[in-house]
Amino acid sequence: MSAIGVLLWVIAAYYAVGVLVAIRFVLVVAPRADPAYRGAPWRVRLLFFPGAVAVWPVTFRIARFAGKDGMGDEHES
Amino acid sequence: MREYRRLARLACKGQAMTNSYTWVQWNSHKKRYDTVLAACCLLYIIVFVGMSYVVHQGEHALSIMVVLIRAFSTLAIVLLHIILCIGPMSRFTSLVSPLLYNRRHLGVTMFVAALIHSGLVILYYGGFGIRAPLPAVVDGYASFATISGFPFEIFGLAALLILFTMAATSHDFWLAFLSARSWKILHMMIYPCYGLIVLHVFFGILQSEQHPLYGRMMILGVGLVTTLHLVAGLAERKRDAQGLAADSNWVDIGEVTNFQEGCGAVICLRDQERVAVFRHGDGLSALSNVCAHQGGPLGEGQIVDGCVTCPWHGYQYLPGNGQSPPPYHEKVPTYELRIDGTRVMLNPVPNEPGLAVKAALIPAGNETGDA
Repeated sequence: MSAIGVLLWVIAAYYAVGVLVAIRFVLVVAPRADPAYRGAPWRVRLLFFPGAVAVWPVTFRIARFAGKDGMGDEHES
Repeated sequence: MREYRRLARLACKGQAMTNSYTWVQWNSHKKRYDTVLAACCLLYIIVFVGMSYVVHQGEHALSIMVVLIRAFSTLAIVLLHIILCIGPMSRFTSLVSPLLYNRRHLGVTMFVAALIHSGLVILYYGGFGIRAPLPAVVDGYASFATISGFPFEIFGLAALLILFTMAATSHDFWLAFLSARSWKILHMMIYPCYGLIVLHVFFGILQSEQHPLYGRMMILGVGLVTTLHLVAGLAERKRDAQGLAADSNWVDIGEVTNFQEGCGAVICLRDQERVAVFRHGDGLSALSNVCAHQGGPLGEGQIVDGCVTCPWHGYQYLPGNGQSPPPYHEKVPTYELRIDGTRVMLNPVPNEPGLAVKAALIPAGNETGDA
């Protein structure tokens, strides 16, 4: 396989993992982290899905942080 | 223009700030802007296709797919140049305020144009072979040894992925979630993206197209973007260098009468963040010049309904404590002011964001700073 072929597989793998992380993010993490998100309708929540796929390492890290330190509660106060 | 900015601020009031999320934060101005933008894009495509048929005739005639591929790619590049020029131009003229106010919509439109271009390329050049379409396009005829055979598509793909990331995180939700600083860093990726697009054009169309128009337009665009950024950067640097030295506890920032009722004034301090000073009634208050939303220049805004209002997206702060009025949560640092005779003195040390500071009361007989 050529170098470009390997690169394309790496990109595909990145976004495949991103889809999995984004599903959890949209359903679980974002409602905990942002009170304004909870009031948003579903079509608006779906709008955030591509962003969660694109920057999944960041959302994954924030999700871990939120799970340990209860970030959602902090934001609610 | 001033009227537009005032109306834009009033129209976006209560919508731009992050208390709840909507699909698109449209108001009457943004709807009108988006309608004009869509009409201009459509007109561009129609004119481009028409001109292509006039210019490329006979044995040089192009298929409709190739013409559309070029139309959407050039549309994306034109929009990208406009986006990149808005920031530095806003330093010199308020005429670009409507574009600055709606820059994100322009960015998403640019991404859509680039996505259509990519989709058409993959469909036309890779859609009918035995290999998967994307690898067929990107890796099909790659030859790293020659300029004309270099796989320029890889630059375009990388640029498209950056544009996707920026468009997908353009909503205010991401600004709040990632923090303003991280969001800003992420969206500064537009500059590497621009570099990739220049490479994509250089190794791509400029190697195959005989007509010099594409090359000249690209050189003109790169020159314009570079020059505007250099000129604006040097002007800002000069302004900061001429700023007041903040080496004492209190810095003299001018006569009381220099500050107009309801209007902001930007105070440049050497080697420090700029300060926005506002006169409201018989008092003066100072806040950080940097809006918590997207770093807009608060000092170039006005007081609307008792709140300091950012000229970029209408985010508002109470002049006394730098906090957004309830139910919003944004805060900016405050500064202490005092008045010595007719001179206004500023403590250059910023307070914690949202810390209440008493307004410096203007003595009777100094109320001539009305707008």
